Amino acid sequence: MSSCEYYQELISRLVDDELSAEEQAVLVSHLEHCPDCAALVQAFQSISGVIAEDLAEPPEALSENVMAELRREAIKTKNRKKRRWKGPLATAACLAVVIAAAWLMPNMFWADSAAPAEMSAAASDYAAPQAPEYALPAEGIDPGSAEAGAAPEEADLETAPAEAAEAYSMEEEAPSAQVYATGASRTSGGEYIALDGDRAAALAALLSGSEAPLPEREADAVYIVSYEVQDVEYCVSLCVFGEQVYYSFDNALFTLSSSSKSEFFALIFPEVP
Amino acid sequence: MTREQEAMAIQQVLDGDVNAFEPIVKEYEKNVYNLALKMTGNPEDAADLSQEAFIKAYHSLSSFRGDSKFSVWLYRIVSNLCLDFLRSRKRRPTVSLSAENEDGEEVELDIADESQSPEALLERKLTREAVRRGLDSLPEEQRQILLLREIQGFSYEEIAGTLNLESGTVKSRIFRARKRLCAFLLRDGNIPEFVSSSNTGGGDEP
Repeated sequence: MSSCEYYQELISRLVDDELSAEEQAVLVSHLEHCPDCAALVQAFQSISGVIAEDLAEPPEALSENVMAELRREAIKTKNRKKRRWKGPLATAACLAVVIAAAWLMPNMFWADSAAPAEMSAAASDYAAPQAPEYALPAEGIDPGSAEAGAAPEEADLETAPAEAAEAYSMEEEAPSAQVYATGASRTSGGEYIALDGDRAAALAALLSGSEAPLPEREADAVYIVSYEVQDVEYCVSLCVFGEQVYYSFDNALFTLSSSSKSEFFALIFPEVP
Repeated sequence: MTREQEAMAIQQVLDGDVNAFEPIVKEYEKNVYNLALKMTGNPEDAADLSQEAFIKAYHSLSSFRGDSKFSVWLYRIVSNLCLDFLRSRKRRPTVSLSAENEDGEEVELDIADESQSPEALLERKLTREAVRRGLDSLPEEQRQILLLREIQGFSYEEIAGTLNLESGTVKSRIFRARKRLCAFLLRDGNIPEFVSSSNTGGGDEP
């Protein structure tokens, strides 16, 4: 190794401010009579400067994409936890919002139907969870219809696992829901929109569309609808693509009919004409 | 974001508040992205890897002990993801080096160098471009360590801790990276004239 190789290594550390006082003194005295090494100091420094200054702006959507992904995961995790807690029936329940509203508003959904009397009574031991099974969009139930929740029949109810009735038994409580609007612009934060019982139930009734693939582009807006029933939180995320509203639940994607989109917005933003 | 705010945000995330992660992402996205960009040389890959790094950081946040700086911990994730990514695919032929001498230095370039310009105004931009190409020509480990130093401003000790290396290795690897970069720039014709007479090439004798 030539003597200058030794000084070159010192120069690299000089640029990084990693020299001891002694090393620095040695280097300085060498630089006084070695123009090549003096030039190398400048070269290393200017290269460092160029690298450090040459910073690009990250894509505007970076943090938004990260957060959207993490929120999606958080919702999935919640649903998964819920499924474990609920047992087998919950896997069949494709629409949390329909479930919740069906429980909360038994009279509205089933008062005039042929559903068993105890179901519409919202009694504490009433086994409602079968309702959503029959409100599956894939089954072609008329969206938004009060009949949606009326489909279950006694025979089918009996096929449900016995423990389900226990797991789903509930006290009567005030219906509520909230919608988390993730914000129209990338930079703005989201906000919670609380829905009262009637709007919650109406929203729930809306959420029965048909299974559909998600468009391969970014959504115009994303809403996260969450419900709390019996201390269990339910979440469904909705993505608006133009005139279509999509929502995912349990790894399946559904879309609302286009006429439902305006109803959806009328429900969550009633103050906007 | 002060270190206290950062520590508080980290605690909130660990307590289950996903939204508390957002200020952390915003704080570091620029450096994370630029590290990934310089590692990969490609904006799309850099964006994907940055996103992946933040998500990975979120999931493994509980393993962050707080005995090092959060940034050090985060950049290790980014930097390792980039390395994995680069290793997992064939190296892009952005720079064609015809040969290396026994010291591992380039001795010949077979690309036509059309980036030289006498225009002083363009010199800065050309130099940036050349430095990018030069970084791209470095072996990945050298590039990684040099970037941790130059973009993130980490001390040798921090880099050693981040990459699990001896500090002597950090020292010599950074030096070799710089030398190699200088050699590349010299041959690429984009190093300022005062260096041209310098002994930064393969031969060390003045």
